[in-house]
Amino acid sequence: MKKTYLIGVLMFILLELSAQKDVTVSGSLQSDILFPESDQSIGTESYKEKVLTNTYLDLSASYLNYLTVGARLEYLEHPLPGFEKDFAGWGVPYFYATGRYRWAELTVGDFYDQFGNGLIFRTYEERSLGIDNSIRGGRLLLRPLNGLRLKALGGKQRRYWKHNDSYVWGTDAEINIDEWLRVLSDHEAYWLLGGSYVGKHEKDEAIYIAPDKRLNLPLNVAAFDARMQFQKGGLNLIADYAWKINDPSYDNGYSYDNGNALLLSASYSKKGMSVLLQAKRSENMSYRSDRSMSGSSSFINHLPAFTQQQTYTLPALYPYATQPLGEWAFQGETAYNFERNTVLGGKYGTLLKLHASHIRSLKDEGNGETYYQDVNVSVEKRLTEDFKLNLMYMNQRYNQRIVEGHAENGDIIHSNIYVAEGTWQMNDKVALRSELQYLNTKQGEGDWMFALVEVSWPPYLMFSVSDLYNSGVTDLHYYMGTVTFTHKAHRLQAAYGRTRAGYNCAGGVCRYVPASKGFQLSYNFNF
Amino acid sequence: MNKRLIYILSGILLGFYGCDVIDEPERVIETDELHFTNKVVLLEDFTGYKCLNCPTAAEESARLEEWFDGHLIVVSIHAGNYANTSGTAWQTDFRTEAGETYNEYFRPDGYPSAMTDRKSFNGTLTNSNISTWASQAVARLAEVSPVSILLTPSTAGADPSLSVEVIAQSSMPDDTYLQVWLIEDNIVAPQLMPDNSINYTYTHRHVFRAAVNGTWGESLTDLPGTENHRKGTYNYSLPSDWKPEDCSWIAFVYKGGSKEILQSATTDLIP
Repeated sequence: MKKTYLIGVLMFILLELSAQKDVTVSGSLQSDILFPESDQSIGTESYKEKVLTNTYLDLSASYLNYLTVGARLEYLEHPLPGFEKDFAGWGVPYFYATGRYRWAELTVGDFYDQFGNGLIFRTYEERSLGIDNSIRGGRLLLRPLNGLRLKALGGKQRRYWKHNDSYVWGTDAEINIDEWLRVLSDHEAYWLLGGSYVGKHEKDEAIYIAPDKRLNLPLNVAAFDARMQFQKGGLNLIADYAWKINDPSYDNGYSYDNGNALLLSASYSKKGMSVLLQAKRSENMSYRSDRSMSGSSSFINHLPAFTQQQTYTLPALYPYATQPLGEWAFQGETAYNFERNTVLGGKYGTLLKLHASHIRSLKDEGNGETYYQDVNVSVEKRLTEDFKLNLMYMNQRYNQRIVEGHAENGDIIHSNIYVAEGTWQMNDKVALRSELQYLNTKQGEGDWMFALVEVSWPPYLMFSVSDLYNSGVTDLHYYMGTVTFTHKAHRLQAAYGRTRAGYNCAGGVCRYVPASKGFQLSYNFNF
Repeated sequence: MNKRLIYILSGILLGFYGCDVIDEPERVIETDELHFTNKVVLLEDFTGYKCLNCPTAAEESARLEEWFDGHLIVVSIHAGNYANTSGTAWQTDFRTEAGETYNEYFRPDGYPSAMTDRKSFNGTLTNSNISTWASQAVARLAEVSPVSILLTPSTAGADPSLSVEVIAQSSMPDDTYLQVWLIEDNIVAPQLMPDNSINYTYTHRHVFRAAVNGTWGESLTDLPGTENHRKGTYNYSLPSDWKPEDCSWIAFVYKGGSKEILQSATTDLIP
């Protein structure tokens, strides 16, 4: 009753505001629905419910540039498969008011924010993973001078339908030196220095090491970050170092070791080519607002993944999850566009990309054991005026035991993956796209094949049928048929088929998704 | 310039309070929070032989049994995907219909995951943080149970039998149920180890075998006796592949609504 009353009040406020002059109301509705069917051959769970849904309604109202208020209604009472048990519920877990005046901005309520690259503080929402670690409290943002930005924030962190008991607070300062040193701005060079501090206070708890002995746990744990970014023309350099004092937790086996992370990145781009090189070392940098929490909730910080986000199905079959205890990670990428009317470019030009990622354990932990590695090369080439071809080859090594906690036929799945995608613009209105993919491996479940055909009438209509087939071990087909309608701000997608059990990952954070089958409906509306 | 310096310094110096650095000699403290009462606590460990982290949990529960010396009963419920028999190494089926029902009802978030007297701690019922199982058990052990359970096993008849008496200390709580289980200890069968190797001669402890008086037991008011003293007798025909000398009876009383366990007891099958 309380929730319904609160929703009613919020709707009334927003309706009243929308009628006012100079007030803009905006929002979005996202609803993903599954009508689940049992299919023992692919190992679906059994459900009592006939309908499962994750539905979100965001509303906000802004008065000029001075004030913005907003709230989100979430209906997750019968959620889609694969989310943690505490994820289920419904209500208005997110609301805020932000006021702006001159160089100050104050938010009270729930908010997301990030300090630098997120090594010690990042709160965000990622609905596909069930992640929402927003802070409920207050945030002050100041820009008192050109090139200077200061932040201070604090509050309690959200964990599903509650907030953890601990308090989290932090400060962040960024200075654009180029605003103060004319020699830099004269040469169009940009130089940013940043520093952050985050603290958490948790109450004590008993972790026993003997019937009459327990750990003396730190109640206040601090983390610090210092970073630099330099940019001139196409060159961009980033260095970020973070460290954390003793933080015994479930993640690190209640170790009192300090944590640290170093991130280095260099990129260069100009017309027709780009290069990126990155290195990261992290050790014991899992930082949660509940030291005894497991699973994907309650992280205060975020350690970025150094793997490419894959859009093709088979290269994404074995996605990597950043290891909180520590890892070395290296990533390199280069792209070169062979111009049109050249030998290698052909009539329409050719884009060549090369990417490599290598992630391994720290020497002390696993003696340099490979956690993940991939080398892939892709070519995008328009062959005729109406036909474009993309080809990709990937060599991948994926440590299943480390990432998933189990492994079949050996710890490391070593795969060769081949992808071919063709798009034929049949006429002004209709396009036909097809993908063929093949994954060859002796480990895991053996070989996989994938095929897709898609017909689209952009921007209104799209049909696709696909099949993911395991020829290696199970001989199972995971077929799927999809229809998508788009009209202005509305998008409706209907699909029927099977989904394989696996991991859905974004930014190095993964969620296990169990196998499912049934009719799916997705609706998005932005206004 | 002074103003700028003030802004910069205040921005980066604000909130440096909050750094508890604990040096090595101070990391362990003595505690006297462990107190035994009449309470015997039940630890139900959801597990499976394909669960890579479960041997670590089994070591911890064995350690807790030793610490709490007769006041903690451990049961390993093999259920879910990590207990299925797909794969040539995994032909010993430890699953039971009752165990799968408990797994579906309590929905552990992962494996291993334990419940301590089916009591919610910090808002969660099942707990996969092995390091906190001890503190949950200590908290429960400090509570005085409103009931006592007396068990009298017998092998005089064709099948092993058990007499159970539930006695209220003052008055019997409302809506309470009696559950009787059988477990078998020391079963040698494969187990996936933390290094992903399979130990084919692993000794499985406290394996849940049967819910003797039904998956959810029976209401105390259905048992003969007086309001504050109920008695029941149970027997069970053991399958031929069970070892009677390694089997034990477990009986516990729990609240019908919350499923919270008020008291537990155990005895060997063979007296």
